[in-house]
Amino acid sequence: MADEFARRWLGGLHPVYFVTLALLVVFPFATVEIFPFGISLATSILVLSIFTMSLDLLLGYAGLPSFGHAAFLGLGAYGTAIFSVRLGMSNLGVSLLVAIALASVGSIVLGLLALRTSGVYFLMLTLAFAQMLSAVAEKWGPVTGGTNGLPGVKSPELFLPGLAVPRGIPFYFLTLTITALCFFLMFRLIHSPFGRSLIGIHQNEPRMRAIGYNTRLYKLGAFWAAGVFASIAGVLYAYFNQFISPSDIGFAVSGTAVLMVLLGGEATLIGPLLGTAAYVVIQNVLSSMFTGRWQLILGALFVVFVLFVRGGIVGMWARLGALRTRAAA
Amino acid sequence: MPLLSLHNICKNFAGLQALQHVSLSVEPGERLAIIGPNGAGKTTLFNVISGELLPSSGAVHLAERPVTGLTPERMFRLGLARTFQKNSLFLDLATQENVRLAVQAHRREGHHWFRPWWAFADVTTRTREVLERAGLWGRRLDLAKTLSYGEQRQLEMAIALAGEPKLLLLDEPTAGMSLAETTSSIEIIRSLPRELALLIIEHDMDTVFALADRITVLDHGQVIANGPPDEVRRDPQVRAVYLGEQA
Repeated sequence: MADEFARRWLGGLHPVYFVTLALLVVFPFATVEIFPFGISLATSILVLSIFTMSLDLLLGYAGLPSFGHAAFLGLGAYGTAIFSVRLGMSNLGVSLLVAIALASVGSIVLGLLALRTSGVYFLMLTLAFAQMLSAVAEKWGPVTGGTNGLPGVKSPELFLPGLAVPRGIPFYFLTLTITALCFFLMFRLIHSPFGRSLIGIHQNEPRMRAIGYNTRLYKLGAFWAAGVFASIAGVLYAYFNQFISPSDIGFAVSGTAVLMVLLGGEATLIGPLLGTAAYVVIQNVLSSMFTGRWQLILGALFVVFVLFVRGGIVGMWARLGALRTRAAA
Repeated sequence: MPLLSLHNICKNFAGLQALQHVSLSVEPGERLAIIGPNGAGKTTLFNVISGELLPSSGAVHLAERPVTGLTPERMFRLGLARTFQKNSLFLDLATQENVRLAVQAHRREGHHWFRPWWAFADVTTRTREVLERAGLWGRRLDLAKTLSYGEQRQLEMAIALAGEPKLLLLDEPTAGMSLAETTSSIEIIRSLPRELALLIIEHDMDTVFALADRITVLDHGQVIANGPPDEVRRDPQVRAVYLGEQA
């Protein structure tokens, strides 16, 4: 009965996801006194995890190695910042619509071009697109603020003007709601016939064509969805940091996102969330312990991880589970 | 009215004439085998029919409709399915997932992005039918890469059949199989519905004579004989170029 309910209405979400959500709801109240920095840390993890989960749709599911995914984060973030700072419009609904519109145009134009190629060529085209956008952000000073970026993004208003969401716990809950919603949509997507088809294309594209799939259209659909989700992350990113600059959408961001996905485990959706959390936490701990040298240590950690822990955190967990079952048997 | 007809198909690869003025036709429900020594152009012919290769000249018609140059996915939707000589499976997916992808494509339900895949009961039912007919129901949860070679060949065929084609191209359906696997594959092919036309490329003569209503012999890219199995077997030219080699 409960199982039937879960399958029918929740699309097979495992109870562990609800426990996680409950913990995330309790988290700010539990930590606000003892660890005030935790709320801002958790907010930035949630915002980035929408971004990395959307990258997983491409990287892990559709098998499209995009190294320019930050471009879509940038479209959402710059759209939000320009509307807020230049036009004085900080309505969340407007920001989301602007972001989705920009990301739709960007992803379809880039998709039509880049999806004619594959592998390393696809990677280079996505990278070039992102570099192009970040160059536009740098050069188009009157609108984007140039290399200095665009400071002074106001707090988002929830649908009604004047009803701004304050920073801290309220913004955390806004972010949590949107992240949970995005996770749910992406979770449904990967378990749908469309999501299964993407996995098929990743595995054997010629065969998919031979059984009647217009694979380029499917890949374009995935590219569009990933772009839109990344731009939603961008909206929250701009509101959270109250600032956006070209370096926020540069290659380092795209590259780090790929690392986060691999760290958590690709083609798992929850993996990127874990990978993002691990990355952000490790980065914060290391940078406070070893100022100046932390990037070296982080780099070494990743080399070890990629070499010896295939499948990332989720893969490690699954192997541990398999070991325990074998030990019990 | 033939289901498939080829008119004067030529295919050149950088000076090599792989196919020279090949014309042939397959009637609805007919089982035609194409035989010929290695390099006779059989696989090239297959690739031209299935849309993988564009012929240098000539025309392909499927149910009277010109289909020359259509992509494989369009051909599949028009009722032409094929198996590959080298297995082309989704190796890291479960056996049933392999079949489901094909059923889903045929039912045109691949684009649904929100309803979970298990909510499509018609796809599930049809997937089960296809798996049972292929004798793979018992292995539906195993990854395709863990199947034996013979089972993989059967899965290969099951994927092609999932699209309910009118014409099935079988590229060496028993190549590389053990004797037992060959026998069971021949049985599976024989038990296919009679209204399904088959076009078979095969090396193994026993398989060909067990399955085909008619045989076309290809040599150096040309048709050198065409007729019922017994007639072709007696044809002196065929004996010289092909059957003679085997004796």
